[in-house]
Amino acid sequence: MSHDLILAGGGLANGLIAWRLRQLRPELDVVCLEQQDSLGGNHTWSFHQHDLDHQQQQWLQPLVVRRWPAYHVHFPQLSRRLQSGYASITSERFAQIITPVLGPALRTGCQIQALGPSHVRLDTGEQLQARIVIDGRGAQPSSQRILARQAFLGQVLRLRQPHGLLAPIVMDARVAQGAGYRFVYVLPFTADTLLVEDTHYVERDPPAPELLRANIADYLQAHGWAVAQVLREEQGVLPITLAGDFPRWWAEQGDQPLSGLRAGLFHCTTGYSLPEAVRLADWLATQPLDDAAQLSHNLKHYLSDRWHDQGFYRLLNRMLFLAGRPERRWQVLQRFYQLPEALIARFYAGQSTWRDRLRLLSGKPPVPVGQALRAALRHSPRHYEEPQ
Amino acid sequence: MSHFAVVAPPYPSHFNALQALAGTLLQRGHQVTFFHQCDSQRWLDDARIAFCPVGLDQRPAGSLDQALQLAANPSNPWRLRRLIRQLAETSALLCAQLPAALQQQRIDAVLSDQMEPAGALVAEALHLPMVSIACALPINREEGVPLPVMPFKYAHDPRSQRLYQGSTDVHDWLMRPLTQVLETAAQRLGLPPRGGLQDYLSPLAQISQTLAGFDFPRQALPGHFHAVGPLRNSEPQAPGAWPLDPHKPVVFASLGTLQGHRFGLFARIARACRLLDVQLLIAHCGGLDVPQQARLLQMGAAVVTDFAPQQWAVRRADVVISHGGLNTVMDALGAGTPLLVLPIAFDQPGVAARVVYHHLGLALSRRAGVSAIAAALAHLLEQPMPGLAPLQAELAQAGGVGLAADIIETAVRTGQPVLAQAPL
Repeated sequence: MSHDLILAGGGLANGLIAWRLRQLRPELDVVCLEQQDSLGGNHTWSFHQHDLDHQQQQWLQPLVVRRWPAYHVHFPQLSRRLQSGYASITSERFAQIITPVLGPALRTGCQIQALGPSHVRLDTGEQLQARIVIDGRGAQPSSQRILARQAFLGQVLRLRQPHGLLAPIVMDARVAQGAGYRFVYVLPFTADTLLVEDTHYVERDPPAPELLRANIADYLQAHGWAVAQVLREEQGVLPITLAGDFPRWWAEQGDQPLSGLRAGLFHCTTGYSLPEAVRLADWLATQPLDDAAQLSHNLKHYLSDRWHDQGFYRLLNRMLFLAGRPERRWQVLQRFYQLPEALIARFYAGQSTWRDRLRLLSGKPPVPVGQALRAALRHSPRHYEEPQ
Repeated sequence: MSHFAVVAPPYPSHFNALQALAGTLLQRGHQVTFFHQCDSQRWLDDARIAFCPVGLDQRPAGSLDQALQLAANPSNPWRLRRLIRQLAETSALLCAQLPAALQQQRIDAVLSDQMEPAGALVAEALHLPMVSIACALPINREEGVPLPVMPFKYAHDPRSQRLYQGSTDVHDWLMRPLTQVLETAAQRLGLPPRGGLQDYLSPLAQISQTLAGFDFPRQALPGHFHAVGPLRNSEPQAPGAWPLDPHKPVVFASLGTLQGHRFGLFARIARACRLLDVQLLIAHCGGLDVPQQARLLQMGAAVVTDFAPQQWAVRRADVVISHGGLNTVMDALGAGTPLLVLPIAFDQPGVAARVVYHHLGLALSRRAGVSAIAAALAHLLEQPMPGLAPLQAELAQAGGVGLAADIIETAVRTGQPVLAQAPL
């Protein structure tokens, strides 16, 4: 039997696509294949209020576990409360809402052995056919995309006492710096539960999980927060794009429709992927979805536009994260968070105006200009080749 | 009233400046004839100016395009040697044929571009008064100042001084074919032989488009050297009719006529402007075909045109990107607009070095990538360039074609050196 659409992988992007298509295109026969037992894995996804428009906020609302009216950042010489809304979705709520809506259209525990634009083969030997297969099985390395990494380990903790935090701490860089820029991220879900993440911007290998756990313990101790129970632990690596070659990267994909991180859909500087996933789900709902080649063609243009839109942020990444000594990079971020709130909001939303761009690029960076410029020049994958 | 001969390299930038000067002389009742190979008449659009073709046997119609191509791409040593040989052949041709042509046209005085010494040599042989005009950076030699064709910054330290001297020696060695041609021609015309281009400048008056405030500091310019600023006619220009957003910065990119074909460079500029979300106006002077123009629009250029009214464009723009042709650079500076210079050939590296020295803008290699161009543009659009205001004031009262014509008339009338400080 042939389906209209198979979504390979049941993470954030494909889960949202399946859910949104069920709302807007109920006539479509969609199947979502997830290798784990449940949808969405073990994650927390967040977004800034201005990343999404009103309509997008509305259809996403059932998934949102908590909204805050503001957030904090802390640096050695700057603490600031930004009056801009912040919200989070947990994979738990994600699965809880979407799983029943999909019903039998969600197949968990499926190990995919191979797939193409219109077929999937499972490791059981089962062959599935569809007009279109969208591959959303997470980021895949490519020699045509140069990534830095934002490696993190987070723990959701129930504390013995209320923590007193009213808003998230999106960056606390008042911590010992490591091999790359390091900060702690804190979400106060309830009066006595917190998500605490230890995060490192690194160019290569992420630090060992034990180190990150120890860092979290140190951070809790420094704030006098005693842990009653560790409710959940998550870890991951968010990509930060430094450079790439879109046409060659697309050629590598062999016209396979893609979604999520696999499609490179995330904010090149911050790694936030939820707004891009929401936009892709909305965009797909407007597509005919009856022919893989046609979708692949349209998706190429969609992704190419997104890639070019993000060019400015990749340039910033190179100037900010390749230049200067890693242990001094907090200064770059400290300077950034001194800028006007509206500029910061547009930055997160990937909607920096020309004025914002000039301001971000031309200010005196805390790294020497020569170094920043040399770093900026490494715009092509071949500038990152290892010497033989 | 006098009949002036104009002798200059057959490049549009030189002809444009000299044509503006000729226009002023014509207004004052003089007669002006340009002398060169027949194709170069194409750069003249003022019907009052006469043109006398020379060397039709060696430089027939159609031969200029090849010369221009060579001049536009002298980037490797082989092509550079070919270019120098060609310059030498042109000078030899003019030295041989100008004497008869000037006599036949009853020329009273010669305006000789600094870069074409044949005009000066022949004028001397015919005992005609001659005024030198520097349309490009002046080539007057001075110890401690690098040659205009060199990209070096201005400095006093011993290492820089050695660099200037060494590069001058290499330059003179490369230019030997031209020097030898000039020596031979001088002997044939019964004149004492001398050295390179810089030894064929007028003893009466030397006129330059380059203001003191733009050149590197000089102490040794002769008393009869006059920096009059850009040679332009002052006819008002119609504004460009393109729909540009008044609330967004405008970058104007022009690489001049010879370099207008450099699609790759324009493409990097267009991508850089898209990164910054600023408007780009490209004038390619006819160097690009229609598909290339369409691609530049796709890459982020707001307007792609063959010609834009340049005075309007440099005033409208927030940054001017140029290859460092002196005309465009002076126009931008006259409008007080900062520059990003990507020099390619001739005196353009020297122009770039002077732009940087006087804080009038920034310079990058012509091979600079999208990111470097974007970073430089961001800097220029956001940070003021302190050198612009003083130079703009200096340019506003420099004198231009009117002063140049006064100097020329005085030199021809008196036959004596016209000193910069003396009343005309």
